[in-house]
Amino acid sequence: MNQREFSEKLLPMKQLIFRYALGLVGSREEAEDITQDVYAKLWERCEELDMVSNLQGYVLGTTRNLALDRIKRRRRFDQRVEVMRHEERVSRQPDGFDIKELLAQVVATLPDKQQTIFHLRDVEGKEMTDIAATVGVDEPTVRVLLSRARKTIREEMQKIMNYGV
Amino acid sequence: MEFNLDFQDMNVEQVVTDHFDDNRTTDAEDMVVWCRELLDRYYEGATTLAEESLLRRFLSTAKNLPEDLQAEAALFGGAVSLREESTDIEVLPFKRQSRLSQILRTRWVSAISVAAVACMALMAGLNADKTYGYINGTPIKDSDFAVEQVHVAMAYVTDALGQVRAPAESARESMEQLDKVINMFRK
Repeated sequence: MNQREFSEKLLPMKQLIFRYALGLVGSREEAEDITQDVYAKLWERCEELDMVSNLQGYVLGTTRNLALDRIKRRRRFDQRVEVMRHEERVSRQPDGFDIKELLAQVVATLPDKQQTIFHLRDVEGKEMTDIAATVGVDEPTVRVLLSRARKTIREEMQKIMNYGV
Repeated sequence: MEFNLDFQDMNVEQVVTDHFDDNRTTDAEDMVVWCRELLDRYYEGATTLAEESLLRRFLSTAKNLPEDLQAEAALFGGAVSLREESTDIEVLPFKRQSRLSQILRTRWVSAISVAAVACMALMAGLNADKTYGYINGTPIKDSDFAVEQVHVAMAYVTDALGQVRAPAESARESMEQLDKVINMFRK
């Protein structure tokens, strides 16, 4: 894929990449960093991209991997900070949560395909057929995975809102 | 009772009124009943985009929702706020690539430089009075231990290069070269 094709096919996905990353990490700054990293990585692999049949799925997979790497690094950092400061765990109240962070926290626990399907449907508002093509499964499977994702999110939201855990 | 599926441009209240179709004024209770019925289908992945749009509008604007719908309100509210997000950052993959290459080159050169310095320092030590270095003021007399210390130092260098594969490999190559030089020198 040359620079022109890259610009035409991939640059229009910027907002999708950004929102998907934001849905996983919950922070604008980090989501913007991830968006930059995604493009840097894609450009590094521009020769391979010609062979990718499902470009949107590939881009979202790259975004998810980079977002999850960042979440893992952040957790390790948080753990170190916690150990260093010997802070008491502060019980978190639902009112103290940013609603995007709350959703991101829950969505990040979902299996990969469920994360992508939930985002494409409930955030991006995509049709089931488009989602099926992006994720590489058939439409009934999309509905099953979407159903599981939504139910899990509801249960986890409920727990957080009831107990702040 | 079937939901009216053709309500993309209608408001929630109108949809609910049509849904019950019993010629009475729709009240908040009706709205909640309608919402729950639609949510059941939503959780089965069976709602259309238009129905989901109505649910979003209702759950993100309705006041005094029952306690058991608060999680749904958060779910839809989170999705709505995400949907409204956008970024105006300028992505510069082409420029960034050259910057990345520059960083990689710089790190690679650093790894080789450190290896070269370590190698020269060790050879200088081997040539001298058999004191290869000092740890906390204690002289190192054992050449194997000295070599081991160089390896440890190089491992730190490799580690410090982070998760970037290319320079880490370069650093490993540097260590292998270092081994060869040391072995040649011993002979």
